[in-house]
Amino acid sequence: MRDLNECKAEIFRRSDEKLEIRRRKLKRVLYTTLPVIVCVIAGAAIILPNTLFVKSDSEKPNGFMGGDEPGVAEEAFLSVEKNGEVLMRVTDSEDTRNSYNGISELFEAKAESSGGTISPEIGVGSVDGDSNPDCYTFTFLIDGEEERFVLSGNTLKRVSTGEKITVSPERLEEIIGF
Amino acid sequence: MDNGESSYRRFLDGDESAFDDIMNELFRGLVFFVNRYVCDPYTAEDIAIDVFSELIIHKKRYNFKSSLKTYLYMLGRSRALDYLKHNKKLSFTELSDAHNIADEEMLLEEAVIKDERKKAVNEAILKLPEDMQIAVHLVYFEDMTYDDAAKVLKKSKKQVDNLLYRAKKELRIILEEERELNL
Repeated sequence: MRDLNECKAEIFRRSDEKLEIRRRKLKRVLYTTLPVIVCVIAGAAIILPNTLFVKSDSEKPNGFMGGDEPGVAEEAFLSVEKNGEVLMRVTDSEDTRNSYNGISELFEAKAESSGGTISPEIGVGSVDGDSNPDCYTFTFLIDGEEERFVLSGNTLKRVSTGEKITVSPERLEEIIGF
Repeated sequence: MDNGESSYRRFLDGDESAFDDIMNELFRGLVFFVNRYVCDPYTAEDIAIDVFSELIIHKKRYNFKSSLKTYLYMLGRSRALDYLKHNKKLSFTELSDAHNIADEEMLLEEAVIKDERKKAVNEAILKLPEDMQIAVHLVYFEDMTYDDAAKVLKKSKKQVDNLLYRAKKELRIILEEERELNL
């Protein structure tokens, strides 16, 4: 049997050896798992935003998109209804944005000409589609946000704010092309 | 005497000489204890070296809740049982090697047990079943409390108490028989 000093030397030799093995194992694990983790993160970064985008867009327009193309993401979408019936749908993002900008400009121009304010009217019934046979509803869905305009006769109403302007159907047709 | 805790604290603080103190205090006793299981002083020494190297590798594993001696003996027991599990096959030893082993065991006993009376008891307890041997060894030779012995043996205090009660009874018979033979 060995004396205590020899045993001590053996203890330190073995512990050094084991520590070295442990270090090597740790390195090996790190080198094998690191690329996997990077791949997973990169994959998630590529796939996840698309998945989320498809989900949010396909959920929100569910009411009026009519389920034509389920799961297809639309950045901008316009639906025109005449007296509650779908007259047309515009799925082209650029056209929809142009139409929306055109209508928004009409409201802005009106606000400037009336000294910066457009008094919102409370009487929604006056432009309500049920009481007027020629009631058009324009529903825009742009970047997940919905905006609705109602045209009754010559009065165009922004539903969210209640602002109203007078515009001829011809002018609107020019802007939207319905 | 604190069974090595203060020395181990010093060792953790960077005092290398503290490890010598732990070695002097506990190493031979651990070899002697492990030898009870493996019945081979060389293997027992090897296991004890492994146990001590654990102290260096996993410095934070010992939590100072039990004594360092108890912790080392727990490790030693578990290593010894592992060894026995992995070496279940009967091993045949050359007669000359067997003599060497017996001599080494005598030397180990000499190194650990100074008291003649204890030596007589040590010879007697070799005739006891293994679990009794270990229990008597821990309490009688290592001066461990029943609690510490229970921790090492992974038994309850009551079980250790029962083991020791039966061991003492049997030891009394063995020692009396030997005395009669000597007379």
